[in-house]
Amino acid sequence: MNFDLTDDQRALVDTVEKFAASATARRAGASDAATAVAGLVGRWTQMAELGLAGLLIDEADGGIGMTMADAILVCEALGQSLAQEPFITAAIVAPKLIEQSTASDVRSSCLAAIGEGSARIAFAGEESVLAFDLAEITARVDARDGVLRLSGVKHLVIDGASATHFVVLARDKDEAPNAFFVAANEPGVSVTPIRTLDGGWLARVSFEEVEVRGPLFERDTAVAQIECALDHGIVALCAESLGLINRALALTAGYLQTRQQFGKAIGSFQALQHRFADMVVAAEQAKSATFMAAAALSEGDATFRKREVSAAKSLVCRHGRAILEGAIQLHGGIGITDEYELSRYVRRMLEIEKSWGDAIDHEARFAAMIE
Amino acid sequence: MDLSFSADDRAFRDMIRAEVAALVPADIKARVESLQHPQKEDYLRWQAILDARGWATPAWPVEYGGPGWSPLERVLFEEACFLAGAPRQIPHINMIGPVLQHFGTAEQKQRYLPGIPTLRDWWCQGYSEPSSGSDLASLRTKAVRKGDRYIVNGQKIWTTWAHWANYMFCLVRTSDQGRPQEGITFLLMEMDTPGITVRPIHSLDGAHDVNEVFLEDVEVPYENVVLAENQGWTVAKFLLNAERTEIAGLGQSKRLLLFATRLADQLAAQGVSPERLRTLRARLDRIRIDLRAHEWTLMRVIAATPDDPRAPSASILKLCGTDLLERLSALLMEMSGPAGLAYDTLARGGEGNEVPPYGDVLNNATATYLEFRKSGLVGGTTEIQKNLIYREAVGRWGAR
Repeated sequence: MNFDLTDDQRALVDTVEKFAASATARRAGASDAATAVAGLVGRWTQMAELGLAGLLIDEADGGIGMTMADAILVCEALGQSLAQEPFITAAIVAPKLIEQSTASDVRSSCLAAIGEGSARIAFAGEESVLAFDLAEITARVDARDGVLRLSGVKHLVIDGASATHFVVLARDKDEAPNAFFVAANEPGVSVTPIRTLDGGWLARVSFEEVEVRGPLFERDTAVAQIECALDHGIVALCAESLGLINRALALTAGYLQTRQQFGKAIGSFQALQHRFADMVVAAEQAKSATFMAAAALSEGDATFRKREVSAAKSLVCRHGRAILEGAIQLHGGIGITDEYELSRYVRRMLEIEKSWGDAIDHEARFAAMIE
Repeated sequence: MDLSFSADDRAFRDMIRAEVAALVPADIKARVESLQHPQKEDYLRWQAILDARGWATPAWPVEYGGPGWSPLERVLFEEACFLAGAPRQIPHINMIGPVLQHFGTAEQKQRYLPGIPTLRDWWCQGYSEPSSGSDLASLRTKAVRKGDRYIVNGQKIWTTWAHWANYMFCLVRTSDQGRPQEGITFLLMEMDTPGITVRPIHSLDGAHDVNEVFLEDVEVPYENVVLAENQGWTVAKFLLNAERTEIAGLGQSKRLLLFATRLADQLAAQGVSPERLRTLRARLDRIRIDLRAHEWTLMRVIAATPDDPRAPSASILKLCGTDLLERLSALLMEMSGPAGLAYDTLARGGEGNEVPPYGDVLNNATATYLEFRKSGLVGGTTEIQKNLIYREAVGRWGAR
């Protein structure tokens, strides 16, 4: 094991940080969905030119051929500048889904397009808005006159507002869940953008008798393949949290050192030092758990992988929230204002908590995996 | 020691619950119970209803038109209001009112008291400044005497509802001599005085409740001093004591608890897994248990005189109240699940009138988490409260 960055990784992080910092400035001010999505798409194209869209795709398929260890560094850097570009869905979850697909036509046509940034694929799985649940699916694909047609509604599709394609979780004629590939501009697809907590955009996507080709996976492996791809996305969310946490700690440390009350810097009060120390401990635990889960992604054992990923997501959600709450408390009044930078980190941390399962969901999956 | 309510207390509780329940307008009740962000109109309407019944100023003595309730009766009233879905009372009614009654001149009482019960006069509190939060006594907004007036310059911050207020009670510096507390004066001013500018601050949830108030060469008549020049700290401490029981946040906690209980049932009806519900309900029950103890701590505080060394300190009420509000609002946010992603802070800030895509209940559950991050900061931070608790506690248990 070696936790030092290679020169290549250092260069990668440097590139992403520079890009994300310049993008942050350009994101400000976009308020309606169309403007925001146009901005996202433009920046995603630039990120693709930097090689980020094809980061995980094999060189043989037109990608860069890097690993999840590299991807989590990218996520951390993106988190640090609150990037809203669809890296996690389009460059991590989507290639993982497509690479494993047995639909060779989709596989061959898609991977290069993902790498170029022209295909931005979102995963349209969840239907419940009350809990993360991939089992409660009513979307279905039925054959009529020899044509497969997909109908159903998917809520809160992450990066759905800017997606060119969807991988849709739906039941086949025998009620077996599988994934289907659909272009966003296909007749019968309608995308309703929804503004999120952090001022980003996700979408409600409905499919009405949309013509689709065959499923992406063999029936008996479909759920396992989808879970595996999503686990990559979940680890990526954990890594993004590390970036949020870094920034929250930096803001807080700066405030403790400069804010004066009772004639001295508030950081000189032991109670505040100790609260900050707790945050730092939690941050290191979150980082360790994220590394642990990233390592498990390349293990063949699905039970082990799910256990480690769920452990990490639940821990990162719990600690991430505690750290952001601590950052608010140590900032005092300024910490609860919309205007101060910290507010956006607080909201993005909540979004991550609510994406693809929160601490409660993942503690439950963890428990199921150690039975 | 007698741990039961007297027959009179019980009779009062039953009466007040029944009467208050009958008074709350249905539309206000619906908004309050769904944790909708309150508007000025709702406060005004409810306060007018209470005024007509003689209950507008629960903490005021009879001679000033108050109901003459005991501290316990006031708590029972607050509980009845919560149970009935009434808006919470504007805290300043029970703060500036008693201050003027205790320290005000005859002219001040005559001029200011009549507008308070109906909220015809809406008061805001000008205490905190950008550089003076926990260290309030270091405040720097300066009032310089010039003939029969003061010229006030400075800035206040976190001023709740300054944009709705037509009066502000304010702490200003009138002397740099001695301890910082000894140069502070408690001053009343009209918000439309030239030189006062109110600038909104939006909170984490997007709402606009607090403000910055800028004071630039504001002329305030000398007769607007309460008590005396440089005696403002005494007035401020008295006022702080007046909110001793409100600081417990009992009504708010109970409101959130009731909301959470209903939301859990709603989630169950809408197919959330029994496993997830078990976890949520277990957390809810633990909060419920802690809230019961908190309620009894409040009873012990109000049964004692303010300086009774055997009673729990008001700081303990504040800390436990903060803990409950933080945990309850966090639980609500967890209950809202993925739907919370769609919470739009711009909509709550009043920009656009968007309907939340997954309904008000889930939307407000998320908003509540963001809103109550202030609990450990307002009315004295958690850290300051702990300092106070320690100081009192070593006096009580330490070596003499």
